[in-house]
Amino acid sequence: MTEFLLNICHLDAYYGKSHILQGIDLQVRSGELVVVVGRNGMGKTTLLRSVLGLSPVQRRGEIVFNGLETVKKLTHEIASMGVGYVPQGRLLFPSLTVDEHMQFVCRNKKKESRWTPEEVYNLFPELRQRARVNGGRLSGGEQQMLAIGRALVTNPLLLMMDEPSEGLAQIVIKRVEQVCRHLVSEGMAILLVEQNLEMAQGLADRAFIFYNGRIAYEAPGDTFRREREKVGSFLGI
Amino acid sequence: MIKERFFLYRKTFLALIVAGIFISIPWVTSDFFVLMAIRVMYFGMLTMSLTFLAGELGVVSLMQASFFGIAGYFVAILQTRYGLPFPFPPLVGIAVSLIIAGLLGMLVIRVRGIYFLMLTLVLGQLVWALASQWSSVTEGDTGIMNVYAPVLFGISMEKSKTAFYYFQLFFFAGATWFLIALRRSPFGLMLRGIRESESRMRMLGYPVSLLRYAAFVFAALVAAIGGVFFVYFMGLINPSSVSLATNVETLLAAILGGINTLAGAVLGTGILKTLDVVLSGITKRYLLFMGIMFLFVILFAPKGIIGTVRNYGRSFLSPLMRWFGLGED
Repeated sequence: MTEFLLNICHLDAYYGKSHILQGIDLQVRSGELVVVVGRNGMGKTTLLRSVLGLSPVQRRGEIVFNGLETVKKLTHEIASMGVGYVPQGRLLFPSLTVDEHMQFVCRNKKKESRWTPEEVYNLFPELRQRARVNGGRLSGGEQQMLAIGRALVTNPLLLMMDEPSEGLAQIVIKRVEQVCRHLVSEGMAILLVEQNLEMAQGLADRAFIFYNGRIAYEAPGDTFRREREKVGSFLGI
Repeated sequence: MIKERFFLYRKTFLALIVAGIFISIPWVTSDFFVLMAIRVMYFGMLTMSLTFLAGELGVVSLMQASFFGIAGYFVAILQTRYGLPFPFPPLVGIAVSLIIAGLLGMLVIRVRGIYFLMLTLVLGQLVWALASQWSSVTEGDTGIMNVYAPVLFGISMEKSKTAFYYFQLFFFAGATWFLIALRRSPFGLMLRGIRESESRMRMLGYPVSLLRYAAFVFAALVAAIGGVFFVYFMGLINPSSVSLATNVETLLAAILGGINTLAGAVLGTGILKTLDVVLSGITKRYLLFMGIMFLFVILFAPKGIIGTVRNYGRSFLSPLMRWFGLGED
């Protein structure tokens, strides 16, 4: 059996009494890009929130990250184990500047870490020019880049991205795709939740389709790209 | 880069002017003014600890005077009853104050907003009740008297108020620098992040509660230093220094000056303490005038003097402030 970076077994997640995720089994290996697709309200975002234990999600089951059980841990503990999160809607700090976002989130400075603010600016040169601008005053594309950069400077092992293509121009989506490929080629694991099927199919090493809180479809990337009709039927296209 | 460095020089220049004013006070003004300045500085440290919490955590504490008073009480008890030599009473006093802040902090840091206010009110009153009722230790409502300021480098701080002034100024400047440095440090940046969104900070891997807790203890440290100088200057301490009235007065000084700025804290304390003395000399009903003044401040300048100057004083003050690099903060 291969060692998984993230191993989710029989995960049930609840918002109060509503049972959102029902018996999810999902694995991510290092250097692998796993895509989760599904229509609205199928539990995709809840999956990412469950991994981090963000309130108000309540979790039951097993989530093993990097060899350690995390269901009983607190959000900040899980995040500092190496889970980077790029949330839907970016969720930046509106009154902090781009540079401040990078500086104070930057972690593991002393160790020889891959991602420093400087490296992120090299990846997204646009951000360097906007270094002194407040998070709330960036364009959508810049916000997305900053959200990714903010997650990268924590030097995560796993990057979880929630609908990074939402509300972005095609050209920016292409940039985000490139960046994802680049990161995976460096050995980072990415768990990507997407509505944009084209982007999902372009990137997936493995794909899952969520339907009403369960996994309705699971396939390697190539099969996922081939079975357009079957995939479409789950997504109501 | 060059422009930036230029601003830095200007800020240093501003700091030098302010330092110059404080240092020259005993030379250019009367004894009365020196005594007033001493009072303003130790109460100013108390107010700064409140405004630091208000500005950085967004909570209003009604128990900062407890940390001020606990340090003061320990100095008084250790010196008058056990005769401990100089550096020890204040060191122990501040340490005990910090330990108590550490214990109570675990309790209060879990709550926000009005609940924080209520909880600190209750705990503050608890400290007051202890000071007032535990007579065997605190001498009850009479308080502890005959506390003397130390002799340093052969100069008695008790006899020379000028020496006392400089002695205190040194620590006052240190405490102010400490709070400003905290604000600008990565720690201060994290607190700003928490103020904007706690959940986002958690999601990025920050122990939000621990950071808030640390800020609470740092604030108590500054209040405790103020308390040490209070008891040295007054020579006595009684329960009124940890009473609700003192806590409310601290809050009023903070509101008057501008609740989330350090400069506002000192300015507000200065005005309040001066009015206290001046008005109470003129009329017995000085509290009435103070009340009316606060009514006006809350109605017309809710951000306090500093905030109002920033908002409305643009026309003539802003070029000056911008020149010093204090445009927006």
